[in-house]
Amino acid sequence: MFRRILYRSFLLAGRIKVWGLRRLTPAGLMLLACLVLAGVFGLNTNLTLAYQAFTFLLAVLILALASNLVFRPRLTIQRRLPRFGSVGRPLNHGLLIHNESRRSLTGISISEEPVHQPPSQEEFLRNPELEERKRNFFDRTIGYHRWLSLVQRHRHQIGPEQTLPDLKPGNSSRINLELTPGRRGRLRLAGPTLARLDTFGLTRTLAFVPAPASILILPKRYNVPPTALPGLRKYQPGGVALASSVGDSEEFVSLRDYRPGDPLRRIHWKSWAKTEKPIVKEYQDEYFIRHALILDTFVIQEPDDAFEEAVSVAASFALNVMTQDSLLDLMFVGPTAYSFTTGRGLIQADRLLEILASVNPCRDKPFSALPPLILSKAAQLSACILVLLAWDLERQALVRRLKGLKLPLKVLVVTAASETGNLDPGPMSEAPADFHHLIAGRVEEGLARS
Amino acid sequence: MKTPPLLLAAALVFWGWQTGLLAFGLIMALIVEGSRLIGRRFEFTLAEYSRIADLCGLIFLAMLVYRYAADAESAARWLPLALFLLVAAQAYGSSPGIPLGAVFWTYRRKAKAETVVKTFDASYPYLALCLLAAAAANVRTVHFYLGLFVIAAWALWPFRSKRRLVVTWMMLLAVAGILGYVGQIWLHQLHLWVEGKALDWIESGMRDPYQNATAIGEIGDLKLSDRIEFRVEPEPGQVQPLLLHEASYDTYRAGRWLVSAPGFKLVDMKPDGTTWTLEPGRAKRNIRVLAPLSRGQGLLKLPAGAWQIENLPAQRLTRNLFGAVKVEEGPGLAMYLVRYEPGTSSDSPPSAKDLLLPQSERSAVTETAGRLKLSERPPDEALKAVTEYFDRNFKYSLILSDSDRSGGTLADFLLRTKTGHCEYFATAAVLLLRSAGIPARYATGYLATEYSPREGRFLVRARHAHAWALAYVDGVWRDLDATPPSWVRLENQAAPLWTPLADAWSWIGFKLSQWRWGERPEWLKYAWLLLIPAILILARGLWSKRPTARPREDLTARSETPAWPGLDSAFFLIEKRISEAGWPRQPEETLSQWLARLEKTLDTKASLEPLRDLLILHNRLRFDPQGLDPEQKMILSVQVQNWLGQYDSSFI
Repeated sequence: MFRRILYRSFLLAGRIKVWGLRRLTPAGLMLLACLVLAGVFGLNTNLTLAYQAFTFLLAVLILALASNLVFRPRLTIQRRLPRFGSVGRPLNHGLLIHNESRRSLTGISISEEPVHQPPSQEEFLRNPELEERKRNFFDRTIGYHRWLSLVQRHRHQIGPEQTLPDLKPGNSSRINLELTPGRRGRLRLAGPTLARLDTFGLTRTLAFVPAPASILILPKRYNVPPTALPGLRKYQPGGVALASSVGDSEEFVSLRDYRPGDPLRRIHWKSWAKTEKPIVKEYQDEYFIRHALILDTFVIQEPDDAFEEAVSVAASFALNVMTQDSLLDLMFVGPTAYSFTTGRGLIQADRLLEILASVNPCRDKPFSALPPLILSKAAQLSACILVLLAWDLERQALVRRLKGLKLPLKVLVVTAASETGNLDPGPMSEAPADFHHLIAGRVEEGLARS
Repeated sequence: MKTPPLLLAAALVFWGWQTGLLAFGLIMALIVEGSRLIGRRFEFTLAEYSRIADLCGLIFLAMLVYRYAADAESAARWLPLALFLLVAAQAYGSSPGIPLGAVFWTYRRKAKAETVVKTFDASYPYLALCLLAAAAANVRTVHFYLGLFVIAAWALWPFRSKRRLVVTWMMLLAVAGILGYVGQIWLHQLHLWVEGKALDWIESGMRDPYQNATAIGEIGDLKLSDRIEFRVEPEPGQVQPLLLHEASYDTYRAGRWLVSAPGFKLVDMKPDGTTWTLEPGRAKRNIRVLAPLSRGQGLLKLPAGAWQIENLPAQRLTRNLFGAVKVEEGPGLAMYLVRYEPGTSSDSPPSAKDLLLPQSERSAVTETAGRLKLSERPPDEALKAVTEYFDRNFKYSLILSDSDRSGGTLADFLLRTKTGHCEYFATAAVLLLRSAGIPARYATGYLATEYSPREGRFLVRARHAHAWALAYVDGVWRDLDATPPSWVRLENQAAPLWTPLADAWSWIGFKLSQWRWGERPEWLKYAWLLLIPAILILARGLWSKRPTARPREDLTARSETPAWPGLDSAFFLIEKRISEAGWPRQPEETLSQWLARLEKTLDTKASLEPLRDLLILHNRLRFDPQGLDPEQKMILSVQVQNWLGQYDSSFI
């Protein structure tokens, strides 16, 4: 209950802060601080003249607000949005602004903030701040730092506000805005906000121009060394549909007599007509290299920084594994078990990034939901890259089973920043070069060592 | 400085003018604005900024202590002086502002770990501080408002919207100036009005010498605070309880005692300004009372027969006909010596009012008086009879019962319940004596009964507040305490458990207050001189640093391109040589990966062998915070040269 009240208070305080910060310039903020100070010190009007400063500053602030009450620009806006953005990479998006009114627009600045989704109550209750236990009792109880870290995680960095060139009636202007996404997934843009300064330059009147759009933010990617996984080409049953474009394409070998059990669709009707006995088409089996990229979505501990890093690591490998002459399966468990295959003639690897952009941690199922998905495909796999969130017995057992199937493995264990101790490779002790312990926040460093 | 040129100087001069520290203001203005002419800048580290901020804090603390000790004017007016070093550090430092870590202690540890120092510009806050300090000088002329207006307009000028005409800006500012001026007059008047209305409420702690509402007739549990109200230092050896009188009243009406003749007269002051004579000099018994005065005013606590008050610095002392002595504009803690003669009184002689019986209580009082045959006894005996009667037949209680109440409450007390607190006893005694023809008054004050051997003083608590009767016998007003003596014991039993703690706290407060309002040693006025060594040490520390003669622009430009350590490592020469040989390092490859690749692919492994060791040295030079010592650097450089000499680009 107490936490819920705190959550509400932080939410309200955050909104008031954002509301105030957007409407007051730095000079306005300074003036407001002086106003409060003069008010407090000037309470006793017999002792100090600070109350005179208070009334003067109040008059200035009221007049500043009054001089800038109405601001309703008539504009149309066209967007130029790229298809994707990436976490941590500046994203430029263009706006074509057309002045529809009969008056010139001058002294306007423009900025756009993505639709802000504040941390949910559930997130606030569940997600302790990283290293929260090191904080003092008061901080731990109140949870303000936890709130800050959550807000930080949700925030996208907005580029500098742009000044709109003076727009005469009927004229258009192109503006480029910058935005650095802080979180993967779909980023929604509602429309830019135009701001106009008052006469004193203390407050800003805002006008929102609706122009809804959205853009997919791909996970952050790291530079990974070229990955060369050993492994044999494997027979792909049911690969007929794939065989048209994948694998060795000498699929049709010859015609032969019908044997009981042959599917009807393999009957070569023309030959039957000629020879008057059933003839079937014979195909060569399909063999090709198929890798699996397995992402562990079963979050062990909150906050889920390690999970985010794991997604980034998976994305980095998804791009890096050469799929020109092989297939890559991305497997993970979300609401159900998912498996996506990329490769020749199929979806391209960059589509995997789109999928990874939307992966959510799985909190309602145990890790045991993942092994059946992998094992069902193990026979067709040449090698596996496992991106795991822990190195516990369950996960080690999975690795052991895959090793038992003679599958070459590359295991990357991503753990929270607080777990910096060395991990025992366990079943991977025979191939320590293929076992990597990556620490959230220092993944790039860990990958470079690998 | 980010303020427009000369603005901060103007604010400092304005502050100096208002506070009477014009010389300081001028010097400070010169120093601050001089930084625009002088190109020399100091490269202060975070630790040095922190030291300066700490020193500023210390100076301010010293000012606060001095203000408190010397009872000087508000310390707010010295704020610009206290924080000047910080602004000067910004003006003459190479950093664009003051690092946050220097000012905020909570941020200091975090700031040490950060590579990019977060700073804030102190010039505008300092400007605001100057104006606030000028306001604290409280020079109530129109000049303050005018100065404020001009400086604020100057400060607002750079921020104005370029969209609007300058004339519009000026007009709007003028309107704001007028509105602010009218507003401040209204605000002041509003404050005076509210203060007037709230005065009674605020000063509810002070006893009203004109009337006293008793709790007679009220129901419930009387809760009196355990707080120590004041202390009384008796003559050595005197530990007898002492009644200390504050005010007396002669008219009783519906549970309320009033004075029939209001009006205070000035008490004569001796030339020393601290001695006040109430009556002509008589015998010399004395006590010392140490009582806080709320806002320097209140009623003095005096024993019966007080004739002179000494060591009480106050603007005015007045007294009424009923022995109440009021002090005005006195110290926060009055520590006055009272000379008194027991058995006498400074109350005015009795009048007909001192014999009046209120109609509502007449029958009960007459009935009781008749039963005691008071009118038949001589006055001395009558007094004794009344005390004995109450002592034998009545009970002291703070719980006011309302069971089956019929007539007037005092009648109820006299005839039926026979239980009550001191106000009942005192009122009943006064009325009984009056019915016997003895002039009597109702007196309020305190009974000093709790002697603290540790302090050598009586501690008088709020619950020691008392009421008693004054009887005029043989030409003298005598104290007649009709309340059964058990009341003190009962009151003490009601004391809460935490009293010792609260007392200790009160003692600390009292000692501080005593130190503050007592005689101040002369040396304290020069305590600020102690700061000089600290300033000298700091100045020496700062001066010994070599100032940078470069203009600030260069410094900022340089800080944007930080020099990474080890970029000059000799190992890069080897990398260059091998690259020229056709084996360049890939962008994503680290040096060790590159070497590993070379080892795998090249046949000339012998040439690569020494490179592993060199690489370790190189990596330490690049990434180890400790770096390499000169000797190791030399080794690296020599060995690289050796290798380069041994293998040219055709070594493959």
